[in-house]
Amino acid sequence: MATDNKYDRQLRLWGANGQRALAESHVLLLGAGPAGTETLKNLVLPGVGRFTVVDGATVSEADLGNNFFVRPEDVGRPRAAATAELLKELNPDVEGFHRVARPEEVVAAEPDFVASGFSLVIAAQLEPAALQALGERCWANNVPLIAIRAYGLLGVVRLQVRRLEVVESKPDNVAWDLRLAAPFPELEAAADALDLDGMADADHAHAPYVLVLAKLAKAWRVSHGGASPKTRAEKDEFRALVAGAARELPSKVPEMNFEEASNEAYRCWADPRELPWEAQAWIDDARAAPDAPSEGRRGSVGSEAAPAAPPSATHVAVASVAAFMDAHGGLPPLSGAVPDMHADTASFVALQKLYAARADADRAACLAIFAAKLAEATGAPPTADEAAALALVCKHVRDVKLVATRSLADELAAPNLGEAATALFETDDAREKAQAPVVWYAALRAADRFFVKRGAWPGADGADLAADAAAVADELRAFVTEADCADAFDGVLSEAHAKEIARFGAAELHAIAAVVGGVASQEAVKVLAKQYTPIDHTYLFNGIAATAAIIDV
Amino acid sequence: MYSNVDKLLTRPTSFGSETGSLAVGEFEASPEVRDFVTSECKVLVVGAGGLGCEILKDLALSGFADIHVIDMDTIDVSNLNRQFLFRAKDVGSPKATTAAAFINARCPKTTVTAHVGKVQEKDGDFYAQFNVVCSGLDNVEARRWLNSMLVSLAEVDDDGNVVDPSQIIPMVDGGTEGFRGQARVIIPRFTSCFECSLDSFPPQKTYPMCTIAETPRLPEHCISYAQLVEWPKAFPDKSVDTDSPEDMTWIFQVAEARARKFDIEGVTYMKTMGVVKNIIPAVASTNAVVSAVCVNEVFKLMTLCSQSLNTYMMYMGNHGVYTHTFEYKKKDDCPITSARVRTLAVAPTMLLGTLIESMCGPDSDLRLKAPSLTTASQSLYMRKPKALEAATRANLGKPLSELVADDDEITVTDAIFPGDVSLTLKLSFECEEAA
Ligand SMILES: [Zn+2]
Repeated sequence: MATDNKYDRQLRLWGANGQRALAESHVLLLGAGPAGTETLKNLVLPGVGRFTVVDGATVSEADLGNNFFVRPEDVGRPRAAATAELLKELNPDVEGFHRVARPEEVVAAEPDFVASGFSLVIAAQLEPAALQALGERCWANNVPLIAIRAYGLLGVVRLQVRRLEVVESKPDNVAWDLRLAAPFPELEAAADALDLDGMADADHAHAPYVLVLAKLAKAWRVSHGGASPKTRAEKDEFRALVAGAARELPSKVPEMNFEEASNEAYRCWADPRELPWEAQAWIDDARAAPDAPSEGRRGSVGSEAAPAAPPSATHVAVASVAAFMDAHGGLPPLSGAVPDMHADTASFVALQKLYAARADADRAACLAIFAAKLAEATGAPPTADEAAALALVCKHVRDVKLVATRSLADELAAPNLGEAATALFETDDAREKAQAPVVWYAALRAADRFFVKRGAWPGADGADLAADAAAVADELRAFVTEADCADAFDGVLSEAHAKEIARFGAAELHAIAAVVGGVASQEAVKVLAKQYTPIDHTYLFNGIAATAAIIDV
Repeated sequence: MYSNVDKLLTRPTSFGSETGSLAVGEFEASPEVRDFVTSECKVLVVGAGGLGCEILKDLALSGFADIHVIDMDTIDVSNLNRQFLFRAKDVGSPKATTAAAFINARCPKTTVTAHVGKVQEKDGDFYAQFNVVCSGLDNVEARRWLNSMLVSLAEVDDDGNVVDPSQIIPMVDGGTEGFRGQARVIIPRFTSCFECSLDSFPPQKTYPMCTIAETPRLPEHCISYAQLVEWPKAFPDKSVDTDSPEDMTWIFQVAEARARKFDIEGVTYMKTMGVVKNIIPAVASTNAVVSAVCVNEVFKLMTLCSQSLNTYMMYMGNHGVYTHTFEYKKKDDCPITSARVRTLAVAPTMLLGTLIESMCGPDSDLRLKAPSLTTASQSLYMRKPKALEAATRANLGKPLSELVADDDEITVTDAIFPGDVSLTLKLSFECEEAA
């Protein structure tokens, strides 16, 4: 073995920041059936700090057939105790607690239990009324909630977050900020010093494209009254000018740095003031309300305002960036990162240092604003952690985003199903349409209605399958009619869907629970580490045809 | 005990296997289907790593009682963040036996039989005993071999029809990389196969040698230089043992010195390992998703209780979750599933050795390892046995025009495919000018 760090393979994804956040978290699991324990397993393994399992069941024979965290000798013991023990055994770094109580009763009797120090609540297979109540308490207390469900061959992961501050969203394509359309003085000076005509061939073929573009763009602006290429014709002309500046070398090998310069020429007119809309939205929000973070994207029907909490250091950092931008003609602090490019070592390293120095200066200016804001609020200078939060925001200023989903209460009261359905029937094939995940979303809502009326799931042991299927079919029709989307489902939903729901009889198949546990734990890591982009808001896996979709109803 | 599974298997459905776009049989709800799973069906799991541990658990808790697992690796510390059948005390033990022992202890109704070794060490008779194979390997070579083995086990007549359907052993294959993964169903002789999609597994990324040697800019360039240039100079007779802390530390220190010389920042021990070992990030969650999707397909293929994945599911979890399910089409010149003979246009002056080189390596179409070539009448070049290798070696330096005629067919065998699998190429001579 060449490493003694068991977390090596995941640190390459979420880094030390993500790992620290995970280790400082306390996750509450309500419901220790297979979907719940599989989710928790995938959080204990990577090193979540603490977990608490709440479950009221006693380990039964059926548990041995679908839950990995019980053993034959546990039959008759409280399931909360047995599963917590075996989950804890997976990783000595993790602390585990349990409480023997029915989650539904805890939600009813102690509505604010969820707000007693948990970073995240995972609700597995909760009954519909309890889930609704839990959703409201989590929303009111701004505690992220992941509701999960394995139902026959169907799996559901529902994320509810009211406001999540994500700085390291790690987009797939890095948007390098090279400032070619608004060069800073040190970049201009370096470009001016580049003597393209007088250079030896070898140096010419290794001049970094960034400097080549900076030089040619400046020459263009000088001859065009200070303006960058604007029209399509001007842009084409500039590209041709860049390509024409390449030398024909004796070796006949084309100059790769000039090829890069042609390809990247658009950077000379891409305005560095334009940020991705998510980043701009948060910056605008922080500028308007530096002390009182907004609610997130959407309000919720009849819900209370989140308790007044002081803004996080990250929010103050974003507000500081907003002030910096106002004082710098709308330019954000420079991130300082430079992509690899065809260049000789010395020129490339010099270029990297040029950008890093400018980024340091911008960050220092932001830090001064940040310190003043904190001093106003607390009277104290920034702590090391607060300064680190500011540095992180400056480095990832284009990637920051506020994540907020629709609330569970809104979804239950007024599902936007018609819209979702039309978008999700990607196909004209009737067989494929019948298996679109959104159809099964509707079918599960029908099963919930059935449960609310009868206190039992359709097709439970000993039930009359045909009668239950007919009742589910009625609920399904009523649901799509009330949701005002009967037309969208016309010809797609059939009696077969209702029969299938009855056949499932709320069976929890381990493989489906494991799919759910995988997706739910992945989303939990994103929420706890505040990295990547969490789902918005429901992931539905259809194990019949192995199709899946995100449903935002 | 399997009351949840029983509901699915003993109740009728409108969505049985026969209703899907990849129909493999007709579902008849009955307790016998359940009994087939719990007492007859034999499943082979290939790989006992991140996917394999999950697959074994998922199979056991779906009712499968007779499971075999094959893996050649031993347990490393860096496995412990996801390979949940292993503990710190197991580091150094074989994965297959440790995983089997854990499942056997936790799930008493299931018996897992372990095989420590490479998939290539087992023969056709070994693979023919299974009803289905579920693979979770990070190794493209082993998957290519396994795929062609399973395809070759389903014998076909002269018209290309399968002689005996019981010889068809479905292969359900999963793979992951960070937050991304894929699951697929391969029905030998019916669907596309692993080889059809070889292009979607690009060879390992490398840096151009001139950059590494002359204009290093990134820490990766310095690390590659230490590994590829400095190490062979210092230790001409020893290759790098990527599992040895001493070897890795040596490369790290040499790379660090080079980076200091060029004023390049960012060479760390962790990055050194990443580059030298070509480490792919891995997390518990993605492995859980992909494995469970695979086992759900195994369960449905063996019971016919629902439709099948037709044939490929892609999973991307970084930003939201994007899942795309589609039918991966057969590649019309796939060397395994296509009856079409590939025609290769070659110059008659091309040397046999050059032709063989062009079939090998990461950038070639066929990505072979060590091919042997014969025509209907003679051996052109054979790697084994030794005497034949010696006898045919001289051909490597001869032009093709001396060895074969225009439009001759040649048969190629290679270690990447099982012994009795070969592919046929037709060599067509180009005129000299075009070449
Ligand atoms: Zn193929």
